[in-house]
Amino acid sequence: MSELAPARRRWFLLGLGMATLLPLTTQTAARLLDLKVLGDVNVTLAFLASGFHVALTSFFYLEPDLAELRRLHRGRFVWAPLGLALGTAALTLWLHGDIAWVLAGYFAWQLYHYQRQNFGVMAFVASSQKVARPTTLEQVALEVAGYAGILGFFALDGFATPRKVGAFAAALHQVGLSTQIAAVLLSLVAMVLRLKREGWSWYPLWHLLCSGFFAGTFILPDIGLAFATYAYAHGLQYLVFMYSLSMARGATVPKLSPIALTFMGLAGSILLMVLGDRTMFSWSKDGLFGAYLGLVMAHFVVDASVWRLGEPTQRAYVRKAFSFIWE
Amino acid sequence: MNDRLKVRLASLCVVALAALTLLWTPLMAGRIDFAQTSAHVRFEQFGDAEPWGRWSIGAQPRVRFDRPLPAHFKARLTARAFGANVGRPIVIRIPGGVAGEVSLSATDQVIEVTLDNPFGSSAIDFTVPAPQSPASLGMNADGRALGIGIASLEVLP
Repeated sequence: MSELAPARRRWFLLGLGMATLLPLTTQTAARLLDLKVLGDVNVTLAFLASGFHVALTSFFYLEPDLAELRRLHRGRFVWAPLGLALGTAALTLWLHGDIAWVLAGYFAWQLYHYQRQNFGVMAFVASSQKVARPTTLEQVALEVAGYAGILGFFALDGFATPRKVGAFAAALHQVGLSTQIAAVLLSLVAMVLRLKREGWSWYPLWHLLCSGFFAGTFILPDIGLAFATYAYAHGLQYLVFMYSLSMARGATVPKLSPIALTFMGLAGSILLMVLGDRTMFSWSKDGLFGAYLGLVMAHFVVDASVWRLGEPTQRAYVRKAFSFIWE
Repeated sequence: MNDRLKVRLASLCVVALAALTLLWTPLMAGRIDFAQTSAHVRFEQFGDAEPWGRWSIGAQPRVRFDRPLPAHFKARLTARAFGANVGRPIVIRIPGGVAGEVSLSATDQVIEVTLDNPFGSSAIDFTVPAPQSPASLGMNADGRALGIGIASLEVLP
């Protein structure tokens, strides 16, 4: 066992915690204090947490240790991303840019993807805290929190939700709020049970944090602030995971080093920024914007495949790269 | 049945139970007192609270709630107009919805307007025809461009 492992575990958890809470802190501070530096910080966070974090997924296409996984699952690594990019582009063209329902599906998947990452966060927290893996009750609380976030999102004023959904926004908000409260209550019950069973650890607090991941939707009156708190938190969490992975793998494979990863992020985010700019390519009748949405959804698919810790290949890969967590 | 499916089914049951709260909780109803501050309402382009309510400042004041307004509702206002706005049409609209018009006298009166909210907005917008400052009328030193003074707003389902 490495002597550095406990310290690395602490730093990793600290990084994840900061990633989760930093956007809430900086966004709130920017609204309370009129400081230019806070605005700059939030712009930087927005950049890192949007296209940049999505582009980091390209790491998995260069990873030699995942070559066999890519070969066995061409559907997830090749055909699904291609199909999503081309299919969504074709769909937006066919709909002549009237894509409210496409965006609704996209955002629902995006928020579900956010919460799936929180399941991963909890698995890592459990292992690094040396406590039992998430119980069924804890998993239900996290899942419920994800549904609350999706329901609340569609009730957020100002988003391009379809007209038919918008008419039910008040009801969606109400059900979302009740669901969010249920998620937090379930988390608190799970916390009591775990503390009784295992004694003190940071795990229950982490679980409460992840169960309240979307709570800003129901607490904060500012739509932009509510969305930014969790969207940026998700992106920053992903950066912590990917740079930790890159530091472990880059030591022996230079093309996977943190510097290489940063270039992947920059190149990919420029591509996504250009594709996602609906004004720049208005001649494409939103076809390129559809491709942008498809590429982001491809990130959901590839990511879900690689971090599937229930599968032996992925579990072995992650455990090796994050050996300090499991030591 | 695998564990993930069990978790998903149990979670959907929780959401279904949460949906039952719709049966006994009104979606959005209640009276907003403009003389008070509220954690659930933001007054944009409105002045500070005064003992009777608060004045709008500028041409496009907005009241923003912390949750979406119902798809169709009646807004009951206790309000007055200032200066050149007395008797002139004041537009009330939910963003994306059809506008309603009211006219107000110089003293508080109760008016009702029916509003549609097709996009699930949480805001009510007002368009004030002639914001005017008391200073410009030689009344006092108040330089704020006042339009309407609202004492309360009720959302009636």
